[in-house]
Amino acid sequence: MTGCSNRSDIIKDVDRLIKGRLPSSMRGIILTEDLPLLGEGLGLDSVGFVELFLMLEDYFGIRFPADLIEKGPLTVGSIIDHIYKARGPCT
Amino acid sequence: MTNKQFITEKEVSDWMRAGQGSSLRNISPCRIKWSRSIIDISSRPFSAIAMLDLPIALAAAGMFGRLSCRLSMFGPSPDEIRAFLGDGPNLDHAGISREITASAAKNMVLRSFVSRAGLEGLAPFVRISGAEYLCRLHEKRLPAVLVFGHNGPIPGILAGLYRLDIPVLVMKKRNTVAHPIPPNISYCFTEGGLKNRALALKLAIDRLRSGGVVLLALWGDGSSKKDAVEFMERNIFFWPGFTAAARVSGAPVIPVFPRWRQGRQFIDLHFYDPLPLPDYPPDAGDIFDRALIKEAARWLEARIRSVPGQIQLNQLRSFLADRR
Repeated sequence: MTGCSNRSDIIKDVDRLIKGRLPSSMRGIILTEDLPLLGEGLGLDSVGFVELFLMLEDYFGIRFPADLIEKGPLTVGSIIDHIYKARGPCT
Repeated sequence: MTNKQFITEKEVSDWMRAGQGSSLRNISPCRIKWSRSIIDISSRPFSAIAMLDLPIALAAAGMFGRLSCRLSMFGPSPDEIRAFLGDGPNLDHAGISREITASAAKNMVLRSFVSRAGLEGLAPFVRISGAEYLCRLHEKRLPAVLVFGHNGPIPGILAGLYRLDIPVLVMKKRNTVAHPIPPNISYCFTEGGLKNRALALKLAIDRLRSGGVVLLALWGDGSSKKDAVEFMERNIFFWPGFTAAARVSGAPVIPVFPRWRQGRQFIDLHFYDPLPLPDYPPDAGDIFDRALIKEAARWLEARIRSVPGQIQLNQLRSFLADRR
Protein backbone atom coordinates (compact mmCIF):
# COMPACT_ATOMS: atom_id res chain seq x y z
CA MET A 1 0.00 0.00 0.00
CA THR A 2 1.50 3.34 -1.00
CA GLY A 3 0.64 7.02 -0.81
CA CYS A 4 -1.65 8.92 1.52
CA SER A 5 -4.60 7.50 3.44
CA ASN A 6 -7.86 8.69 4.84
CA ARG A 7 -8.26 7.90 8.50
CA SER A 8 -11.44 5.95 7.86
CA ASP A 9 -9.64 3.78 5.31
CA ILE A 10 -6.83 3.15 7.77
CA ILE A 11 -9.34 2.13 10.43
CA LYS A 12 -10.94 -0.39 8.07
CA ASP A 13 -7.60 -1.83 7.01
CA VAL A 14 -6.24 -2.03 10.54
CA ASP A 15 -9.43 -3.73 11.71
CA ARG A 16 -9.20 -6.31 8.94
CA LEU A 17 -5.47 -6.95 9.37
CA ILE A 18 -5.64 -7.26 13.14
CA LYS A 19 -8.59 -9.64 13.05
CA GLY A 20 -6.74 -11.76 10.52
CA ARG A 21 -3.91 -12.26 13.01
CA LEU A 22 -5.96 -13.05 16.08
CA PRO A 23 -6.36 -16.48 17.64
CA SER A 24 -9.61 -18.08 16.49
CA SER A 25 -11.14 -17.56 19.94
CA MET A 26 -10.74 -13.79 19.54
CA ARG A 27 -11.92 -13.37 15.96
CA GLY A 28 -15.38 -12.10 16.97
CA ILE A 29 -13.99 -9.24 19.00
CA ILE A 30 -15.13 -5.71 18.27
CA LEU A 31 -12.05 -3.52 17.94
CA THR A 32 -12.40 -0.17 19.62
CA GLU A 33 -9.76 2.52 19.52
CA ASP A 34 -9.09 2.30 23.25
CA LEU A 35 -8.46 -1.46 23.12
CA PRO A 36 -4.88 -2.22 24.24
CA LEU A 37 -2.81 -4.22 21.75
CA LEU A 38 -0.70 -5.83 24.45
CA GLY A 39 -1.89 -7.94 27.33
CA GLU A 40 -5.46 -9.09 27.66
CA GLY A 41 -6.75 -6.88 24.86
CA LEU A 42 -6.11 -9.10 21.84
CA GLY A 43 -4.83 -12.24 23.52
CA LEU A 44 -1.53 -12.11 21.63
CA ASP A 45 1.80 -13.22 23.05
CA SER A 46 4.95 -11.18 22.44
CA VAL A 47 5.78 -13.00 19.21
CA GLY A 48 2.22 -12.69 17.89
CA PHE A 49 2.16 -9.02 18.77
CA VAL A 50 5.45 -8.23 17.02
CA GLU A 51 4.35 -10.19 13.95
CA LEU A 52 1.20 -8.08 13.84
CA PHE A 53 3.33 -4.96 14.16
CA LEU A 54 5.58 -6.05 11.30
CA MET A 55 2.63 -6.93 9.12
CA LEU A 56 1.14 -3.47 9.65
CA GLU A 57 4.54 -1.93 8.85
CA ASP A 58 4.82 -3.86 5.61
CA TYR A 59 1.23 -3.21 4.58
CA PHE A 60 1.31 0.53 5.17
CA GLY A 61 4.95 0.93 4.11
CA ILE A 62 6.02 2.61 7.32
CA ARG A 63 8.19 1.78 10.32
CA PHE A 64 6.95 1.81 13.88
CA PRO A 65 9.73 3.08 16.15
CA ALA A 66 10.51 0.84 19.11
CA ASP A 67 9.66 3.65 21.52
CA LEU A 68 6.05 3.40 20.40
CA ILE A 69 6.02 0.16 22.40
CA GLU A 70 8.24 1.53 25.14
CA LYS A 71 6.29 4.70 25.87
CA GLY A 72 2.80 3.24 25.51
CA PRO A 73 0.00 2.84 26.19
CA LEU A 74 -0.33 1.10 22.86
CA THR A 75 -3.91 0.89 21.66
CA VAL A 76 -5.68 0.28 18.38
CA GLY A 77 -6.27 4.02 18.24
CA SER A 78 -2.64 5.00 18.85
CA ILE A 79 -1.53 2.69 16.05
CA ILE A 80 -4.09 4.21 13.69
CA ASP A 81 -2.90 7.69 14.69
CA HIS A 82 0.72 6.76 14.05
CA ILE A 83 -0.07 5.34 10.61
CA TYR A 84 -2.16 8.36 9.73
CA LYS A 85 0.62 10.76 10.73
CA ALA A 86 3.31 8.73 9.00
CA ARG A 87 1.45 8.46 5.71
CA GLY A 88 -0.08 11.92 5.70
CA PRO A 89 -3.70 12.83 4.97
CA CYS A 90 -5.07 12.88 1.44
CA THR A 91 -5.86 16.44 0.45
CA MET B 1 54.99 -8.25 40.69
CA THR B 2 57.18 -11.17 39.64
CA ASN B 3 56.62 -14.89 39.43
CA LYS B 4 56.00 -16.06 42.96
CA GLN B 5 53.90 -18.69 44.58
CA PHE B 6 52.12 -16.47 47.07
CA ILE B 7 51.01 -12.89 47.36
CA THR B 8 51.98 -11.11 50.51
CA GLU B 9 49.60 -9.33 52.77
CA LYS B 10 51.45 -6.08 52.02
CA GLU B 11 50.86 -6.49 48.29
CA VAL B 12 47.16 -6.96 48.84
CA SER B 13 47.12 -3.93 51.14
CA ASP B 14 48.92 -1.95 48.44
CA TRP B 15 46.27 -2.98 45.90
CA MET B 16 43.53 -1.94 48.22
CA ARG B 17 45.16 1.45 48.83
CA ALA B 18 45.91 1.97 45.15
CA GLY B 19 42.31 1.27 44.33
CA GLN B 20 41.08 3.68 46.98
CA GLY B 21 39.71 0.95 49.13
CA SER B 22 38.68 -1.98 47.03
CA SER B 23 39.18 -2.05 43.32
CA LEU B 24 41.12 -4.09 40.82
CA ARG B 25 40.58 -1.49 38.15
CA ASN B 26 44.18 -0.31 38.31
CA ILE B 27 45.68 -3.75 37.93
CA SER B 28 46.14 -4.62 34.29
CA PRO B 29 45.11 -8.08 33.10
CA CYS B 30 48.65 -8.66 31.80
CA ARG B 31 50.09 -8.09 35.22
CA ILE B 32 47.64 -10.50 36.73
CA LYS B 33 48.27 -13.01 33.97
CA TRP B 34 51.98 -13.17 34.60
CA SER B 35 52.00 -13.25 38.35
CA ARG B 36 51.17 -16.99 38.64
CA SER B 37 50.47 -16.67 42.33
CA ILE B 38 48.10 -18.32 44.70
CA ILE B 39 45.71 -16.70 47.09
CA ASP B 40 44.04 -18.98 49.56
CA ILE B 41 41.18 -16.88 50.77
CA SER B 42 40.18 -19.47 53.30
CA SER B 43 43.31 -18.62 55.31
CA ARG B 44 44.31 -15.45 57.07
CA PRO B 45 44.88 -12.68 56.11
CA PHE B 46 42.84 -13.25 52.98
CA SER B 47 39.84 -14.52 54.85
CA ALA B 48 39.62 -11.12 56.50
CA ILE B 49 39.83 -9.42 53.12
CA ALA B 50 37.25 -11.81 51.77
CA MET B 51 34.94 -10.83 54.59
CA LEU B 52 35.37 -7.20 53.65
CA ASP B 53 35.24 -7.69 49.93
CA LEU B 54 34.63 -11.20 48.65
CA PRO B 55 34.58 -10.15 45.00
CA ILE B 56 38.02 -8.56 45.18
CA ALA B 57 39.49 -11.57 46.94
CA LEU B 58 37.90 -14.00 44.51
CA ALA B 59 38.81 -11.86 41.52
CA ALA B 60 42.42 -11.72 42.54
CA ALA B 61 42.58 -15.44 43.25
CA GLY B 62 40.64 -16.46 40.19
CA MET B 63 42.51 -14.37 37.69
CA PHE B 64 45.67 -15.96 38.90
CA GLY B 65 44.16 -19.23 37.79
CA ARG B 66 44.79 -20.70 41.19
CA LEU B 67 41.60 -20.19 43.11
CA SER B 68 42.03 -22.26 46.23
CA CYS B 69 39.25 -21.09 48.49
CA ARG B 70 36.79 -23.68 49.70
CA LEU B 71 33.77 -23.55 47.49
CA SER B 72 32.11 -26.85 48.22
CA MET B 73 28.99 -25.05 49.40
CA PHE B 74 28.36 -23.96 45.83
CA GLY B 75 28.75 -27.28 44.10
CA PRO B 76 26.33 -30.01 43.07
CA SER B 77 26.61 -33.48 44.53
CA PRO B 78 27.54 -36.45 42.35
CA ASP B 79 23.97 -37.66 42.87
CA GLU B 80 22.62 -34.48 41.35
CA ILE B 81 24.92 -35.00 38.37
CA ARG B 82 23.63 -38.56 38.07
CA ALA B 83 20.04 -37.32 38.21
CA PHE B 84 20.81 -34.85 35.44
CA LEU B 85 22.98 -36.90 33.09
CA GLY B 86 22.01 -40.42 33.96
CA ASP B 87 24.46 -43.31 34.19
CA GLY B 88 26.75 -43.51 31.19
CA PRO B 89 29.74 -45.83 30.90
CA ASN B 90 32.28 -42.98 30.80
CA LEU B 91 30.56 -40.56 33.14
CA ASP B 92 32.63 -39.54 36.14
CA HIS B 93 29.88 -37.96 38.23
CA ALA B 94 32.24 -36.86 41.01
CA GLY B 95 34.67 -35.35 38.51
CA ILE B 96 31.88 -33.48 36.71
CA SER B 97 30.63 -32.24 40.07
CA ARG B 98 34.09 -30.87 40.87
CA GLU B 99 34.36 -29.24 37.45
CA ILE B 100 30.98 -27.54 37.82
CA THR B 101 32.04 -26.29 41.24
CA ALA B 102 35.28 -24.93 39.82
CA SER B 103 33.46 -23.37 36.86
CA ALA B 104 30.90 -21.80 39.20
CA ALA B 105 33.73 -20.26 41.23
CA LYS B 106 35.49 -19.06 38.10
CA ASN B 107 32.27 -17.60 36.73
CA MET B 108 31.76 -15.76 39.99
CA VAL B 109 35.29 -14.43 39.74
CA LEU B 110 34.71 -13.56 36.11
CA ARG B 111 31.64 -11.45 36.87
CA SER B 112 33.61 -9.61 39.50
CA PHE B 113 36.57 -9.12 37.20
CA VAL B 114 34.45 -7.91 34.28
CA SER B 115 32.57 -5.49 36.49
CA ARG B 116 35.89 -3.85 37.27
CA ALA B 117 38.00 -4.35 34.16
CA GLY B 118 35.20 -4.33 31.57
CA LEU B 119 34.96 -6.50 28.48
CA GLU B 120 38.10 -4.81 27.20
CA GLY B 121 40.00 -6.24 30.15
CA LEU B 122 38.61 -9.71 29.55
CA ALA B 123 39.18 -9.77 25.78
CA PRO B 124 42.86 -10.85 25.97
CA PHE B 125 41.78 -13.98 27.84
CA VAL B 126 39.37 -15.16 25.14
CA ARG B 127 40.53 -17.55 22.41
CA ILE B 128 38.13 -17.33 19.47
CA SER B 129 37.58 -20.06 16.89
CA GLY B 130 35.05 -20.69 14.15
CA ALA B 131 34.20 -17.00 13.72
CA GLU B 132 35.09 -16.85 10.02
CA TYR B 133 31.50 -17.38 8.89
CA LEU B 134 30.22 -14.75 11.30
CA CYS B 135 32.87 -12.25 10.15
CA ARG B 136 32.02 -12.88 6.50
CA LEU B 137 28.36 -12.20 7.28
CA HIS B 138 29.34 -9.04 9.06
CA GLU B 139 31.52 -7.83 6.15
CA LYS B 140 28.54 -8.30 3.84
CA ARG B 141 26.27 -6.61 6.40
CA LEU B 142 24.14 -9.75 6.53
CA PRO B 143 22.28 -10.47 9.74
CA ALA B 144 22.86 -13.28 12.19
CA VAL B 145 21.23 -14.54 15.33
CA LEU B 146 23.58 -16.04 17.86
CA VAL B 147 22.20 -18.57 20.29
CA PHE B 148 23.84 -19.83 23.41
CA GLY B 149 22.77 -21.56 26.57
CA HIS B 150 23.18 -20.27 30.09
CA ASN B 151 26.41 -22.15 30.36
CA GLY B 152 30.11 -21.57 30.60
CA PRO B 153 31.76 -18.18 31.09
CA ILE B 154 29.11 -16.16 29.28
CA PRO B 155 30.85 -12.75 29.47
CA GLY B 156 33.52 -14.38 27.29
CA ILE B 157 31.05 -14.28 24.38
CA LEU B 158 30.67 -10.54 24.67
CA ALA B 159 34.40 -10.03 25.16
CA GLY B 160 35.01 -12.08 22.00
CA LEU B 161 32.47 -10.07 20.02
CA TYR B 162 34.03 -6.90 21.40
CA ARG B 163 37.36 -8.08 20.05
CA LEU B 164 35.82 -8.97 16.69
CA ASP B 165 34.28 -5.48 16.70
CA ILE B 166 30.88 -6.73 15.59
CA PRO B 167 27.88 -4.61 16.59
CA VAL B 168 25.65 -6.66 18.82
CA LEU B 169 22.28 -6.30 20.46
CA VAL B 170 22.13 -8.62 23.45
CA MET B 171 18.72 -9.89 24.49
CA LYS B 172 18.90 -10.94 28.11
CA LYS B 173 16.21 -12.15 30.41
CA ARG B 174 17.12 -9.77 33.23
CA ASN B 175 19.44 -6.86 33.75
CA THR B 176 22.43 -8.19 35.63
CA VAL B 177 24.91 -6.15 33.61
CA ALA B 178 27.53 -4.75 35.94
CA HIS B 179 30.30 -3.92 33.50
CA PRO B 180 31.00 -0.84 31.41
CA ILE B 181 29.32 -1.32 28.03
CA PRO B 182 31.52 -0.76 24.97
CA PRO B 183 30.05 1.15 22.02
CA ASN B 184 29.53 -1.90 19.79
CA ILE B 185 27.27 -3.63 22.34
CA SER B 186 23.79 -2.70 23.50
CA TYR B 187 21.25 -4.52 25.63
CA CYS B 188 17.55 -5.12 25.94
CA PHE B 189 15.82 -7.12 28.66
CA THR B 190 12.78 -9.31 28.43
CA GLU B 191 11.91 -9.74 32.08
CA GLY B 192 9.03 -7.67 33.38
CA GLY B 193 6.16 -8.72 31.20
CA LEU B 194 4.78 -8.86 27.73
CA LYS B 195 5.68 -5.27 26.89
CA ASN B 196 9.39 -5.79 27.54
CA ARG B 197 9.46 -9.05 25.58
CA ALA B 198 7.69 -7.42 22.65
CA LEU B 199 10.02 -4.42 22.79
CA ALA B 200 13.12 -6.63 22.84
CA LEU B 201 11.85 -8.63 19.90
CA LYS B 202 10.99 -5.53 17.88
CA LEU B 203 14.47 -4.09 18.54
CA ALA B 204 16.03 -7.39 17.51
CA ILE B 205 14.09 -7.66 14.26
CA ASP B 206 14.79 -4.03 13.37
CA ARG B 207 18.47 -4.71 13.99
CA LEU B 208 18.43 -7.88 11.91
CA ARG B 209 16.63 -6.20 9.05
CA SER B 210 19.39 -3.61 8.88
CA GLY B 211 22.09 -6.26 8.74
CA GLY B 212 23.03 -6.48 12.39
CA VAL B 213 23.76 -9.29 14.76
CA VAL B 214 21.51 -10.22 17.63
CA LEU B 215 22.88 -12.29 20.43
CA LEU B 216 20.29 -14.38 22.16
CA ALA B 217 20.37 -16.71 25.04
CA LEU B 218 18.54 -19.96 24.65
CA TRP B 219 16.92 -19.78 28.03
CA GLY B 220 14.45 -22.23 29.37
CA ASP B 221 12.31 -22.92 32.36
CA GLY B 222 9.37 -24.90 33.72
CA SER B 223 8.07 -27.93 31.96
CA SER B 224 4.40 -27.20 32.52
CA LYS B 225 4.00 -24.90 29.54
CA LYS B 226 2.37 -26.41 26.50
CA ASP B 227 5.21 -25.57 24.12
CA ALA B 228 7.90 -27.41 26.06
CA VAL B 229 10.34 -29.45 24.00
CA GLU B 230 12.45 -32.45 24.86
CA PHE B 231 15.78 -31.47 26.35
CA MET B 232 18.09 -33.64 28.48
CA GLU B 233 15.25 -36.13 28.84
CA ARG B 234 13.03 -33.43 30.29
CA ASN B 235 10.34 -31.14 28.97
CA ILE B 236 11.70 -27.62 28.90
CA PHE B 237 10.11 -24.45 27.61
CA PHE B 238 12.47 -22.20 25.65
CA TRP B 239 11.40 -18.67 24.86
CA PRO B 240 10.71 -18.62 21.11
CA GLY B 241 11.82 -15.02 20.53
CA PHE B 242 14.98 -15.90 18.66
CA THR B 243 13.16 -18.21 16.28
CA ALA B 244 10.64 -15.51 15.40
CA ALA B 245 13.49 -13.04 14.87
CA ALA B 246 15.23 -15.49 12.55
CA ARG B 247 12.02 -16.43 10.75
CA VAL B 248 10.91 -12.88 10.07
CA SER B 249 14.33 -11.57 9.08
CA GLY B 250 15.67 -14.68 7.33
CA ALA B 251 18.81 -14.47 9.46
CA PRO B 252 20.98 -17.55 9.97
CA VAL B 253 21.13 -18.83 13.53
CA ILE B 254 24.69 -19.35 14.71
CA PRO B 255 25.22 -21.21 17.97
CA VAL B 256 28.07 -20.12 20.19
CA PHE B 257 29.46 -21.80 23.27
CA PRO B 258 32.10 -20.50 25.67
CA ARG B 259 34.05 -22.77 27.98
CA TRP B 260 36.86 -22.56 30.42
CA ARG B 261 40.06 -24.13 29.20
CA GLN B 262 40.82 -26.83 31.71
CA GLY B 263 43.28 -25.75 34.38
CA ARG B 264 43.79 -22.34 32.79
CA GLN B 265 42.22 -18.95 33.05
CA PHE B 266 41.56 -18.75 29.32
CA ILE B 267 38.12 -18.92 27.79
CA ASP B 268 37.64 -20.85 24.56
CA LEU B 269 34.88 -19.30 22.49
CA HIS B 270 33.69 -21.31 19.53
CA PHE B 271 31.18 -20.25 16.90
CA TYR B 272 29.44 -23.25 15.35
CA ASP B 273 27.95 -23.75 11.91
CA PRO B 274 24.47 -22.26 11.49
CA LEU B 275 21.60 -24.43 12.61
CA PRO B 276 19.66 -25.91 9.71
CA LEU B 277 16.55 -23.80 9.31
CA PRO B 278 13.26 -25.72 9.28
CA ASP B 279 11.87 -26.53 5.88
CA TYR B 280 8.76 -24.43 6.35
CA PRO B 281 7.87 -21.05 4.85
CA PRO B 282 8.28 -18.01 7.13
CA ASP B 283 4.49 -17.69 7.40
CA ALA B 284 4.34 -21.14 8.99
CA GLY B 285 4.70 -19.34 12.34
CA ASP B 286 4.43 -21.69 15.27
CA ILE B 287 5.44 -24.77 13.28
CA PHE B 288 8.64 -23.09 12.10
CA ASP B 289 9.42 -21.74 15.57
CA ARG B 290 8.86 -25.05 17.29
CA ALA B 291 11.02 -26.94 14.79
CA LEU B 292 13.86 -24.41 15.20
CA ILE B 293 13.62 -24.52 18.99
CA LYS B 294 13.85 -28.31 18.85
CA GLU B 295 16.95 -27.99 16.67
CA ALA B 296 18.51 -25.45 19.06
CA ALA B 297 17.67 -27.65 22.06
CA ARG B 298 19.30 -30.63 20.31
CA TRP B 299 22.41 -28.54 19.69
CA LEU B 300 22.55 -27.36 23.29
CA GLU B 301 22.05 -30.86 24.65
CA ALA B 302 24.89 -32.17 22.49
CA ARG B 303 27.20 -29.43 23.79
CA ILE B 304 26.23 -29.98 27.40
CA ARG B 305 26.69 -33.73 27.12
CA SER B 306 30.13 -33.21 25.58
CA VAL B 307 31.26 -30.72 28.26
CA PRO B 308 28.90 -31.25 31.22
CA GLY B 309 31.27 -29.48 33.59
CA GLN B 310 30.47 -26.18 31.89
CA ILE B 311 26.79 -26.10 32.73
CA GLN B 312 25.90 -23.21 34.98
CA LEU B 313 24.89 -24.22 38.43
CA ASN B 314 21.60 -22.30 38.46
CA GLN B 315 20.67 -23.90 35.12
CA LEU B 316 21.53 -27.33 36.43
CA ARG B 317 19.33 -26.80 39.48
CA SER B 318 16.55 -25.38 37.32
CA PHE B 319 16.65 -28.39 35.00
CA LEU B 320 16.79 -30.78 37.94
CA ALA B 321 13.58 -29.25 39.22
CA ASP B 322 11.94 -30.16 35.93
CA ARG B 323 11.99 -33.94 36.07
CA ARG B 324 9.73 -35.51 33.54
